Amino acid sequence: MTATLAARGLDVDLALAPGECVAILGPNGAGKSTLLSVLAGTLRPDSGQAVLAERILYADVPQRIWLPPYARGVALLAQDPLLFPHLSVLDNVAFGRRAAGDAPRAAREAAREWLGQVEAAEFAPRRPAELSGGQAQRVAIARALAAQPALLLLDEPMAALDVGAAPMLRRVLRRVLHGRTALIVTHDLLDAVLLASRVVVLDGGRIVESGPTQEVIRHPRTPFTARIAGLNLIEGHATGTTHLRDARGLEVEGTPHTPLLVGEPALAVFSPTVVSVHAERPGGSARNAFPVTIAELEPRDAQVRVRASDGHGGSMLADVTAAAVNELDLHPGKAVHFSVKATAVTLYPG
Amino acid sequence: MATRIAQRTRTYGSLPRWVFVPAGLGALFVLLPLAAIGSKVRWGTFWSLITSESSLAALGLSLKTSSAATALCLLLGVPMALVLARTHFPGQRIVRSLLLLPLVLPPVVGGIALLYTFGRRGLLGHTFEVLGLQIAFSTTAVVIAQTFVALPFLVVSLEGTLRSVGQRYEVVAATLGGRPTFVFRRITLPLVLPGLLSGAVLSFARALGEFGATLTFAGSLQGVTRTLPLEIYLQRESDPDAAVALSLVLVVVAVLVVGFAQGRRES
Repeated sequence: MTATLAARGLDVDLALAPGECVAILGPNGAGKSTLLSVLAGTLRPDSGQAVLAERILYADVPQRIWLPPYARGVALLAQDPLLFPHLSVLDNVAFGRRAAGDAPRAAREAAREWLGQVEAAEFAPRRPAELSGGQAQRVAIARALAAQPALLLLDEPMAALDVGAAPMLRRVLRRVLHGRTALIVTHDLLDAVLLASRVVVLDGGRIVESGPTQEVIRHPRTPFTARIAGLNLIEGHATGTTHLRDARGLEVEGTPHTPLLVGEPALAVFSPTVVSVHAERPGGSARNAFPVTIAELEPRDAQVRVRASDGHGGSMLADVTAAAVNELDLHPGKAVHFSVKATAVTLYPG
Repeated sequence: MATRIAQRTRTYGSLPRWVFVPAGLGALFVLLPLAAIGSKVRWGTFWSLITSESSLAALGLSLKTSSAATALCLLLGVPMALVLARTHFPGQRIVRSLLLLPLVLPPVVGGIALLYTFGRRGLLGHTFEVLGLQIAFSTTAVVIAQTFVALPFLVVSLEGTLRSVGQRYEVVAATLGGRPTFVFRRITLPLVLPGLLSGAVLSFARALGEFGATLTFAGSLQGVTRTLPLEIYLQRESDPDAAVALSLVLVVVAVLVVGFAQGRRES
């Protein structure tokens, strides 16, 4: 598919293999939900075309085609389950089959089967108002699947759930999405890892990064991906086979993952766990040191995550012990140095 | 802690106490006239008065025409509310204001407007005459007058419900393969049913009480166009007791209607 939508600044070119599940990541306002709306048919793109199983969903050349949502075979699962409040759970799930013209009995039979698939068979006679958020979302999945869509769109299906309900839903999704063509918009890297084989990162309405999930997580190419992967990322140009210099002239030494070409764009990545924090500039030759200002302290399990600003709009993370916070008197606004051993920094071409 | 919270929690209210005085006066202002009717009814003759030939004819005609008007309101008002709530077109706000005009228009003016539309010398009168139809001063005219004044009640009520229900369920239903008519029948209609019912009840009540437009456009022929309000107005001159008795009948109907509409809202 391709799509442009001037009004929302969307310009995307995307292809899915049959049976492939792709995760769409991106900051708020990146155009993720807009992309899904265009595919579902609830929003008309200005130009572009999409083909699903040899059927044209929309196109502007050679002639203008636009299929209405009900004729697309594209089901959309949103944050909010949006179960029809006046129908029982069973009739909610049976809706797609009834709309397709099935007799009530056949539709209900199929609905019962799908409810079993999402471990919600016992809710069949209930009203949606009697379900918890997680239960309702499972029923919504069954309802979407029962409509036998050729493409399933999931728009942050876990976002509105409380923490306790998410693991169960994730397990169900992992099972029912297996071998299904699906696009899942998420904020959570875990969803991308567990549910999708490929990741597409959208920013400002454009695809800025794309690749197998593992590869994207391990070697992020954008600050956004690095952030959700919980990694530090420095962009610059290679000044040697083991060095890069960023736009401000900061030199970073690391271990190349793939050979660097001098003068070419390069990226340096390191985990917050390998960063140590110093009040004074540390010595030692095999260390990178970055002067930063602490922006935020956030407890994480037994550790404290220090979010610091590099003074140029970038941010850097370090995980330290609570004792270290006390000892160094760390607090927001304090100027410190982050240091990383060169062996803990991975370099690769940008 | 042993504190039990009562079912109806007594929370702090910031209402100034003096507000209760004008509020009470206002309530009295509404309720006193109703009590006055009740006090004037002669219960000994009440039953014979409301079952007299002319009363029954008026009551029957009122129920018949109001039901027909309500049906007509549903037939025309539901699509109108749908178009107003679910589409955007240039000048929509002006169109809505004009369509709701009968709500604030003096009924007599409405009657005159109808007369110059459907009357013999009206805009469409000639067309109807060619077809052999005489509309003015017939029972049909009563239904038209009632529909004219009652239609906005249904449109306003339903449009509000449509807007508050929103389109989200309809969009989901469409992505599940539901064609527009199917979605309207299975999703939209059931979801707005409370608003539709209270709108229909309000329209029925308005049609039942219609006086000015009916008198102007349909006249006052016993059994043909003389509805209950017209009958009451006429009886007031010759037989005040009958007028009071019939008024009480309309009050009872109104109470039932309000009770029904209120009950729907709470459930």
